[in-house]
Amino acid sequence: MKEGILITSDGKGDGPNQVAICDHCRGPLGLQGKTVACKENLFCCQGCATVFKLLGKLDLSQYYLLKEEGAPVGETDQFQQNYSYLNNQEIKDQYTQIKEGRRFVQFYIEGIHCIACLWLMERLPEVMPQVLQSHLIFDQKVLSLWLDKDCPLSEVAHLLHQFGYRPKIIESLDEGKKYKKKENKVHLTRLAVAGFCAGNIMLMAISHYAGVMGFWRHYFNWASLLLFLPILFYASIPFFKNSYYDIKKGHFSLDIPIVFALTLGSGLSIYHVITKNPLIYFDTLSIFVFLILASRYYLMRVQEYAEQLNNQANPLIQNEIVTLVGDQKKEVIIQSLLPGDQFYFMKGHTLAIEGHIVAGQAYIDNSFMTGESRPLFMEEGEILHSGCRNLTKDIIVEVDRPFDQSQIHHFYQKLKGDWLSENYYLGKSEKISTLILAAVGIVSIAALIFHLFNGTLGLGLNSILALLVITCPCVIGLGTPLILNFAMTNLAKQGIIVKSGNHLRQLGKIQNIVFDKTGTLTHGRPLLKKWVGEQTEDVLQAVYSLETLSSHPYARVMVQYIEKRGDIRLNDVQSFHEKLGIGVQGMIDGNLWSIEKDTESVESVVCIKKNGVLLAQLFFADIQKESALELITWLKSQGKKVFLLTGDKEKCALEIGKSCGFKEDEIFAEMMPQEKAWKIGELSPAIMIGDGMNDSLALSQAEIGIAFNGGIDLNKKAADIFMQESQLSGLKELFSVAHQTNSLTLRNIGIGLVYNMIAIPLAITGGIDPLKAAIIMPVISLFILASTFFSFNGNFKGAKR
Amino acid sequence: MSSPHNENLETFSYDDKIVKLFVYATLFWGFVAMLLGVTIAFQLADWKVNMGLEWMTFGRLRPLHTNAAIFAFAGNGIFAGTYYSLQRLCKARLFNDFLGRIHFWGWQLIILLGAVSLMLGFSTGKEYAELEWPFDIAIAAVWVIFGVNFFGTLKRRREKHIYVAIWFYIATILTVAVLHIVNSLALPVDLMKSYSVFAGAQDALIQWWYGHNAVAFFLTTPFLGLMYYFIPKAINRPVYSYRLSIIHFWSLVFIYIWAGPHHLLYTALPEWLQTLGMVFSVSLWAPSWGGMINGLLTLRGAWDRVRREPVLKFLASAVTFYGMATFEGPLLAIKSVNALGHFTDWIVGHVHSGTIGWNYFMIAGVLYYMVPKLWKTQIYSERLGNIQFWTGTIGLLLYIVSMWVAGITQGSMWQAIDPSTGNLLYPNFVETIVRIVPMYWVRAFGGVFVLFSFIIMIYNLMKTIVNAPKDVKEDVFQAPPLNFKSDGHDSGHRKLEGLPLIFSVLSVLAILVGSAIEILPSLMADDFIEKKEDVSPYTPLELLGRDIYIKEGCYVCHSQMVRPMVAEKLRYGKPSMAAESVYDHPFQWGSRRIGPDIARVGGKYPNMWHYKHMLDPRAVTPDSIMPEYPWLFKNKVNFKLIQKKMEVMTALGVPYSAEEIDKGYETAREQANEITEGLAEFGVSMDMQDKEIIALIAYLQRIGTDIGQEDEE
Amino acid sequence: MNALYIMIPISVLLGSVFIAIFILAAKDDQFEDLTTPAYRILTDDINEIERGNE
Repeated sequence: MKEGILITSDGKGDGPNQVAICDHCRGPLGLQGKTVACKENLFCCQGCATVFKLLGKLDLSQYYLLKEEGAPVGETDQFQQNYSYLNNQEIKDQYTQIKEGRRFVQFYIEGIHCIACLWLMERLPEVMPQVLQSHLIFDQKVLSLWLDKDCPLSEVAHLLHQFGYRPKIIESLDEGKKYKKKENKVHLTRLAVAGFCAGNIMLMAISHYAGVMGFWRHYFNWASLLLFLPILFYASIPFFKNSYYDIKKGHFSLDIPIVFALTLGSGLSIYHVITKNPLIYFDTLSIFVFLILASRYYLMRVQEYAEQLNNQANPLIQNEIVTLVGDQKKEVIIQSLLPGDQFYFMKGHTLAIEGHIVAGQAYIDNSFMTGESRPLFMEEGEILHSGCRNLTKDIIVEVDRPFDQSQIHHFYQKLKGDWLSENYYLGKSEKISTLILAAVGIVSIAALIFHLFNGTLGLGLNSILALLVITCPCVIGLGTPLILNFAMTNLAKQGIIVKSGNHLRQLGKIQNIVFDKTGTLTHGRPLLKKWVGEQTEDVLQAVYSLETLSSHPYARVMVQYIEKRGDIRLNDVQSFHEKLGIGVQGMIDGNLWSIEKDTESVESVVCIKKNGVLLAQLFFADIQKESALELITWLKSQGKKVFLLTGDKEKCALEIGKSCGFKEDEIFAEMMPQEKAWKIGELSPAIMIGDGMNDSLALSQAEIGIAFNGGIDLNKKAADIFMQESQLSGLKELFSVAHQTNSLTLRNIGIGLVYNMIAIPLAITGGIDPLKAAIIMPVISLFILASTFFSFNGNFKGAKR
Repeated sequence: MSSPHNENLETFSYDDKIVKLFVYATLFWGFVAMLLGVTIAFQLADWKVNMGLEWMTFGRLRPLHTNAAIFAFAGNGIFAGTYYSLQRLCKARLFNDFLGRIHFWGWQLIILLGAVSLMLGFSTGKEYAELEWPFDIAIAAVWVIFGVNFFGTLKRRREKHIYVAIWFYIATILTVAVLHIVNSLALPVDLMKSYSVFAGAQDALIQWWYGHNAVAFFLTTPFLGLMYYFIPKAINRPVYSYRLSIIHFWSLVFIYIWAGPHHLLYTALPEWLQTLGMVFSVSLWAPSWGGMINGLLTLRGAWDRVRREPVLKFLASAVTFYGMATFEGPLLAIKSVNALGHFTDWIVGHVHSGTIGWNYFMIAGVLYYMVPKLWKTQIYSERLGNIQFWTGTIGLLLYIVSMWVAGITQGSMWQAIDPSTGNLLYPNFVETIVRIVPMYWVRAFGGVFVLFSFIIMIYNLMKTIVNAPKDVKEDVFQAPPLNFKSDGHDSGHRKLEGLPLIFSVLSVLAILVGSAIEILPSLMADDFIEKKEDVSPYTPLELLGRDIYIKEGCYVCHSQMVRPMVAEKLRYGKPSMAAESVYDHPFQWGSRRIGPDIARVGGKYPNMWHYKHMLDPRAVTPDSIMPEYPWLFKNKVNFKLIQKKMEVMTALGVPYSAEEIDKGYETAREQANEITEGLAEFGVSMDMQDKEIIALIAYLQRIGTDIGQEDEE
Repeated sequence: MNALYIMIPISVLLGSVFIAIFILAAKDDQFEDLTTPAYRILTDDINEIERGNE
């Protein structure tokens, strides 16, 4: 870490390194005013230098050969994350499995970009002997590892972290997923079998249509009968199963007529084969089974895809490991803490119990809980709510209420519940399509019975098959999910993840839209609002030099602000001193500088003094996002009703709200989570847009919850729609796509209806025979597919422009 | 390595020596095959190039050319690319280096001896499978060795996933084995002579089922495998859609095997079977193009690199030509198109756009990728590579275009009927040939270009190899073994470990047993042949003559299948019927009419005409491009063999009675004597009677005479 | 066309062999992840521990 020498960029003057790029991340050097040099390589930051050296040491430098030009590398911030909790038994039990004396564990890896990352991930066994195998699923960013039974997980995670990735342990395949996987495989096999048999049966059928006669006709009939058996007794099982359950549950589904037709058709055909009657339906039946299976398989994939996108690493918050206070600093998992226990609440950790500080003082970020943007300085005796985050110093906390009584746990349970009970089956919810299906079913069964008594079963069967093929779910059943799939995939590409298509469809319909302030309309952290007073080189340098030494959130803001303004020298500071909750001071070239909070004012103001003389006042506030106003006005123009709910102070809320274009009566401030939820209840049906714990309840309360900002896993569970980037522009995109989706769905349903209106009578009256139907149906489906695809592409091209 | 002695890792290296061997072989046989191609091209342009040499005639060199191109050139290329990619995809060394060597030397030996045997006129008379039965067995053996080596390697792989390329290789190995064995089923007469167990229409079906699938599974699937490996590698980006490639593979193998009958449109096959063949071939268009598009899209946005680098240039254009060929194929399988194109040079052009455009270019791309890697050096000259590419492409285009013109011209001339008189516009077949001879010159020079381009590659690659650093050490690799379930939730893994091997063995066995059960009884059973009372077996002498016909490869220029079309009735006579060829082991329907169809030649001309014709074709047909066959007038017929031959025929269901067989020798002699006496009147000496020409005349005069001409209006 | 006696069964048989292989492959998760393999092959010759020459 340390060999890197810090060079101030003006030290390098306008040397070649000004234009040079970092040897690790390929980013320009001197951007943050500094360049790290070690040996002949140059880096933009210490982190990059570390990774580069590490890869070199491990003989993994080919990483740089593989790296695509311009592909980013993992973030390489220095601050070490502590993975020691991974070694804890509870974690191991919950998240890993032992097979044949080896431990299987899966990580979700943030920061997987290109082939180089893939290569690096799968080199682990060569770098760490305890890693027996490593296998990355590239697009899911899931790394599967086989480890020595007693290989400390933390070391693996740490190594990954050193490479610049963010490993998150995830539960390797719970029962549910396993089952899904199995289902998937079986379905695929069914599809393959059906495809194979249908294909060959078709070929034999062709020779029929080509007029083969006599012996060979029978030969082919028998052959196709043989080939049909797997379709009937293997590929068609799901139809039989489903219709059995449907009948038991007493509601209708397409499977019932399908089974009806299948049994009759195959029965009749087999009978005909034996009696040498020319009417054989194997070709129709088999192709029909194949098509339906195919369309259903496609549906399954669509759902999985949507799920996969949304189903990222699950939160570990409740599994945080803490160290108990006491002579033998025992490490325990936070769930096991009991009231009265005292433990170290570490910097950067999130609290998962309710408690109070017994020793130490630190800046606590409560936005998680209350949406309060300003970090609070808290000291002995003050109450800490679960979900709050320690920003600065380690402190000692005593437990009042254990994890299972904490709010965070309560939320987690609730939300987990909601989430698991989500209904993913797209299309099913489509009333019209079910209606048509029902109609088709009834008509066909009726017709069959008619023909049965009319003694023209063969004819009837033919028309029923035609009917079923022609109205096979492809058009309606596929049309809707197709659109949703397009919409969801395309949105996902832009970091907007929609859990289920139904939400997308409702989105277009619901009028009331409720916004959370902090982190949604605003950046969610204090920023430098204005700088009143001197801003000379001298001042900037002093502030920069002092604040880089401080860990206070404001300090970071100031440093960034100054770095943005370009090159800046670091002066060395004597007798630096940080007064927690107040500010910092120190000597630079014999002058005493102090940067301290103005304790009088209600706003957060910081005063810069040189030898006691006030040079400048810095006003901090959580300011709104650039596009906020535009968005709100746009939404209003779309005829939506917008509201602003926040736990923040009235004054601040009004200020921000108005500047975002809300009217006074649309703003509700100082609301606790419960109240928010109630409000949502009043406004129902409503769309809630927000982030943070405090919103989770509201998010799950609302018909549609849209969660912002990738940080908090709980949101993903709470919300129905989840945005990875915190740009508001995404929302506009989302709403317009939702709108598009609805209109397109309607259009397809329209097409479907018209099509069926024409097709059904034709089929019933025998105007279309099954083979024609089998040709027409895919054609129509393709047409719908194409039209949907193009209209959407148009939309997204537009969106990008 | 930070931890070189990591006991969890296995250290291994690849057997690249075998790859190198196959690379050399590919270069050598590629040259031979193309040289032969050019030679026979010139023979067609000018008959004198046949040089009146027995072993140099078109009839013998053409089979040699096709076999060399397919099995020697493409074959070695496939083996080189497969062994290279397989080891890397499996992260495992070849199962057994020694087996690899057997595979290599075995294959080369077969080709070498095979080539000689074909020149000497040992031929089964089945297109693309002319090699006699001992070679067929040897080929099967070597193929099995290849299979064992392949699946052995697969079994030892350290990478769990079986990459799509490997799937294509597997399909190749299994299918080619089956096709080869079924098609080669024959009963030997002696060491170098055998009769196909199938006759006439049966044989035609089997032959083209094999013939087409040889194209499908020897010249397509393995090359698709190579495409899916080498294109991504060469351009260093993943294939456009891996999912599509998987679908491509399975949709292909599930139905591809059906292809074939479309080679027999308008023949004596039943209508429905032809339609089936047609529909099928047309439907194959989809998967083929799926693959092509996938290959091309992989190169999307990198066309500048394609322009610069020979490797990509060859691979890209190979895929393009694949697309072209797989579009043209189904087109030609449409009956109406086929009516025009079949038996013409169009087919020849189509085949070459595949073999040169797809196979040669793909191999070139693969070689240009592999050689520098194998020898750890840079390519000697990219510029030469580009020159080669353009020379080759120009040559190929000359070839294809000239064959289009030739084919369509000749095809339409055959069909042309004077509306006023209702007679043929070009009754004299030679006219239609003379008209396209200029195209033959163009084609020949196109061929020269292609050959030249290949020579450039040989030079370029050999230079590369010679300049390469000597004493290259093998690269050593490291990877964790797959010896335990490599992921938390599957139980199938070990199953698949041994699976490929077991499966291939089982399936091949199953198929062999199955086919044995199917075939053996039917071999003996008479019902395998639909009798027609007025069709009788060949006389002993005719039988001997027929073997000469096959030996000289007459079928490569003369079809024996009058198609049911007005023009053909006018030109040749009554359309052929399946029943006519029930005793033809093997069938001789042919696939190309460089000379006229001779299904009805029997009795058309006097014996003396044939006698003269064989001596000097131009003496009886001016402008004929047929070579002279002087040796037919020197070589003696081996009458000794006749009885054995008749016995074998009987075993195959030809109804020779016992005494017919006993008297076989005498009967043959008598007939020969008879014919010679007839010729003697024109001053032919009587000691001609034991020469091949007499037997051949006997056969020619017999063809198509069983079914009387009269009953047709 | 008695040759079909042989061709059709063999063709179908061969097809069934492929089906069987397909099923086992599916069981073996060969079709689980259809993205990564395409990328993985691109690195297959990078991971040697000692390069011969050069």
